Formats: sequence, C-alpha cells, structure tokens
Amino acid sequence: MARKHRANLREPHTRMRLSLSITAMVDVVFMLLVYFLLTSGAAANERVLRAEMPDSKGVSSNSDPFALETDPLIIELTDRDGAVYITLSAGLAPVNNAAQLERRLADVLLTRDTPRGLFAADHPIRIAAASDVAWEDVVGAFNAIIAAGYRSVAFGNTQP
Amino acid sequence: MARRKSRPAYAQIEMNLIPMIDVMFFLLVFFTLASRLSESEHVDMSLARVSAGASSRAVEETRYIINVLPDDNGGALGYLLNGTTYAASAEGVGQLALALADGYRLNPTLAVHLRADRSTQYMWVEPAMRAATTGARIAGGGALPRLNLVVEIPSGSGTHGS
Repeated sequence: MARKHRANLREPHTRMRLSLSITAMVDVVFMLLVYFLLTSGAAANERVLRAEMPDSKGVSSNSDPFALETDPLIIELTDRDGAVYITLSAGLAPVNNAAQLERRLADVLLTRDTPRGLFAADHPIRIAAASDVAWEDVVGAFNAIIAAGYRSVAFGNTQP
Repeated sequence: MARRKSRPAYAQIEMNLIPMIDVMFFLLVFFTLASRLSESEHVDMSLARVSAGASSRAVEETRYIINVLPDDNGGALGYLLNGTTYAASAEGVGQLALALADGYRLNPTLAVHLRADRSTQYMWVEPAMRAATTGARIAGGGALPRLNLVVEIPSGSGTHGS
C-alpha cells in the first residue's frame, strides 16, 4: 500500500505547482534595508575614545609594589577669551592647541629610538581643565595625548 | 489503443493575508520601539570633533550611554541615561551614580559611553565621568569603570585603534 502511495505521488497529474509571490517579501526586505541605512547613516562619523578612569583614591592603581611614586604630568587647560591655553608641568613650554600639544608630548616621549625622552609611554598624565573650558578642547587634548603615544591618561576634577 | 492524455491538476492556492498582516504589525512594533530606543540613547547634539587620532569605532558590547543634555551658553540641562533624566545637581549626579551601579552589578565589564555637546563646559561633563567611577565603586565586585568618550571625526578621516 505504501508503494502504491509513493507511486501516486510520482504521478505527474498529482504534482502541485506552487507559485510564490515574492512581492510582499521584497516590500519587507526593502523596508528593512531603508531602515538600517537610515539608522546606520546617523552615526557614521561617530567614534569613541577609550578613557582610563582613576580608582576610588583618585589615582590609577599600580600593581607593582616596588614601583616608586611617580608624579603625574599635569596638563592644565584654561579658557582665555574663548581660546584654550594649555600649560604643562615639568617645565615644558605651554601650547595653544591640541596639534601643538601632540607634537610637544611626542618630542618628550621616551622610546628606544628617542632615549633622551623625558616620559615613558606609561607615565601617568592628568588633564586638569578649568570649569569653563569647552568639552571639545578637553577631548582634543585627550586625543592628542593618546595620539602622541601615552597610555595612562586620567581626568582631574574641575579647576576653579 | 489510444491513451487518454490526462491534464495535470493544478492546485488552487490562495494567499492567506493574515500571516502577512501579522508580520507587518510586528515590523511596525519593532520600528516604533527601535526608533524610541534610538532617540533615548542618541540625543541630537554637536559632538566634539577630533582629528583622526586615537579614536576607534565602537565595538559591540554591553553599554550604557550617558547624554549630557546641552543648554545654552555651555550649560547642561541634565544627564540622560536609559530614558531617565537626572538633574544637573549634586543630588542628580548621585542618583546617576546609583543607576550606573545597578548596571555594574549586572555586568562588571559594562562600558559607559559619554556623549556631550562640544560647547558644553567641562564643569558639567566631569560630574558624569565621576558618576561612572562612583557607580563602579558602589557596585564593588571588581567592576571596572570603562568610559568611552563619543566624538565625531570629519568625513574622510582615517583612524587607528587606541
């Protein structure tokens, strides 16, 4: 009986011709496409800068018990008539923008190629911005420090 | 003996509209929810512009997004996190830290993305960063405050990872 049933299935007159209308599916797919294009386009130019946060004591944790206390390089940002003014500790000359800051810090980076550099890449750096400095200037300074090759950057509290 | 040629029997297929309507309603609900979620996470503001330097594309990870709601003259209206607005005051920042602590308890490796307008003064952004640190400390359990500053790069600029 099963054989007969299978034979019937193979008979040409029992085959069904299925026609699938893909119009609805194309509609849905296009809608998804448009949606994802719109939502991804909104954030096309957005990037992130990874920042190191100080721990509860306000300093970066150091797991090396033999490491000496290292004074962080303080980078102070102040607003002077709408323009940022950047001063650096350790006797480094002040700069006026993020590009100059990056060059200045890159010059004093201690590497194998530049053994006369003052600061190693993991030397702690703290950004101390005045309360009225625009966020863009603070982020620009942070970006310049990282771009110069330093890895340990923290944000300080606002300066009066 | 002539064989009788049989005509193939075509099945009549009727399009059942009900599943398609179901799908369309699901899509409608999805888009509505997704757009609201997107609005609550991405407030329209002018992000800080940086040259192509240490910035990188955000990776897919569990994250909270803090929006520092911009006000005129570099001020802040408050802090938006997960659809809730916290006041730009000491009390509001404390509540923000508690909300972040809840997130850190659920996921100690939570990433916090900070979005602020480029003209907002540092005095309004710094409390949000401090809230992330405080929240991680309150949560305990080895939660690490990982803060990502959301920036905008000019079109056509290349980047390298930090």
